[in-house]
Amino acid sequence: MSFDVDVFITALFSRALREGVVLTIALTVVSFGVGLAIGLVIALMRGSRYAALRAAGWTYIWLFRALPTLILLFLVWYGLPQLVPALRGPGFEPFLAAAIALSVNEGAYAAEIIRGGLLSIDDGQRVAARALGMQPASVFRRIVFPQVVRVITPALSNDFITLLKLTSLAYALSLRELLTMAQIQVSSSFRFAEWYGAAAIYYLVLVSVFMLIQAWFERRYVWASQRRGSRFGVLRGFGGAAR
Amino acid sequence: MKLATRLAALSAAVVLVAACSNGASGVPTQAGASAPATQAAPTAEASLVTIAPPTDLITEGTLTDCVDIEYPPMEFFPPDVTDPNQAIGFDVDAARAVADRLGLDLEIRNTAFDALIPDLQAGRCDIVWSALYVSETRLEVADAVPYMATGQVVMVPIGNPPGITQESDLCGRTISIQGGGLVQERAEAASAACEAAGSQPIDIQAYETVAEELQQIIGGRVEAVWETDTAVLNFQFSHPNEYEVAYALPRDDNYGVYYEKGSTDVGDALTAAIAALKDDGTLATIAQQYGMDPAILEVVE
Repeated sequence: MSFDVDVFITALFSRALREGVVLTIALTVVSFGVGLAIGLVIALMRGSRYAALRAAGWTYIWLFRALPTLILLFLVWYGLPQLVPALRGPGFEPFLAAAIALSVNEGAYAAEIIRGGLLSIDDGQRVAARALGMQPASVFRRIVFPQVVRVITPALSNDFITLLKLTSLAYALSLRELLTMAQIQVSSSFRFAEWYGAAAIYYLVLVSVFMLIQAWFERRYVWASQRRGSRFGVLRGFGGAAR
Repeated sequence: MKLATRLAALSAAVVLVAACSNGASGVPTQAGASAPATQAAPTAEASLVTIAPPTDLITEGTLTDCVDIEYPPMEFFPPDVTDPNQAIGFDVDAARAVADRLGLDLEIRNTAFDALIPDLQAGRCDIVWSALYVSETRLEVADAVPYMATGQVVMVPIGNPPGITQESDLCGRTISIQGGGLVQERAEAASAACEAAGSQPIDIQAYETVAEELQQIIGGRVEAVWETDTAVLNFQFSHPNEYEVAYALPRDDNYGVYYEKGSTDVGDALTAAIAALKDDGTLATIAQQYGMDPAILEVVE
């Protein structure tokens, strides 16, 4: 079967894919946002003075990195209503279940990324800031966190893009996101290349837009001056701090 | 914290848009507000007996039907439609007729094939009417009302290049099937029979959806497809003169409507409604609408 351009164009602007992509974006943004918040909390727990908090943080990361995302989705969709009777009614929708599972999953990975970022800040800075009389909360908010943001942005962007594509696993929960919508159309038209090609274009556009956002974000959060095109070879233009 | 506020606002906006876009997520839409086919029972038909609806439903006054809307001619979407309550096909139209007869609204949940029985067990569906065979394995966890006789066929490219005329001819051949159902059980049994007889086993490729399974023969990756007659019929319709049926298995399987195990309330109402619809010819009309022979409805008791 040859590629039918008319079908491809129809697919590209079809209602099915437009509705699907809205769900994909919504699920990604919600899961990433909540996951990031969870990750920040867990990362701070891991650096805590109290052994109990450190252990709890470690356990969370261990558990939710070990569980495959698909199994986690099933556990939330089928298992959670059994544990929490309030979730048994029709109000517990696939979107909510998928958002919970993906957020919790993302939280574990974000925690490790943030922890890496926190480790990259020399402890001397904290000591110096405290010596200047700053409160611990201020130290974090004004000294540590701004630098951490710069360090973790590339890794977190990676995670966001991965999550964007991971949302297609919610197919198993009957969530009609982008890839599933394409699949449904294929099942009645048998035109694989055109529909999946159109879905691929959507993903390409989404990731491209996100990368633009990421670039803008990184430019905004440069704290130290940069020397572009430095004579230090491979570090040229990578935004390394001027040394 | 400007960035955090912005991100929160963006997420809220996106979620709001998603919540407003109907039907794409399998979210039950307002019961009765968007199911165009379930108007009030036909006017002034004094002879129409409305059967007492079951009381043990998930949502009062609504029959929740889980369907995998990816299987023409049994359940599928017309072009550019994504709302499950506007799906068409034999199963969907028949379910609407049953809901009408019971005086209930119909709520269709578009559900992934593998999640149909699990969702029924989890209490998300009152019934599952989605061209599922009545099989031993499923009957262990749910009950069913048969409504249509069906069988499988083995389809090959036109001219029958591999020369398949019976099941033993499949030995050593590559075939594609839809995984996880009755066909898989039978194909594996056939392969075992091949090996017992000293031949090569059948190379069985199982796929998630019917479309994927049929794509394999288009690409020449498999020599035959073992699938239900209705799906093959539909495929041949969209690919005229390219494929033919090598042989047909006896048509002694049934499609059934599944409901929660032990729920005699729902089961009795369902059986009565389907029987009534068969008797007054509604089911036959629907079958003919989709190119099916009404004789296959003879399994309805």
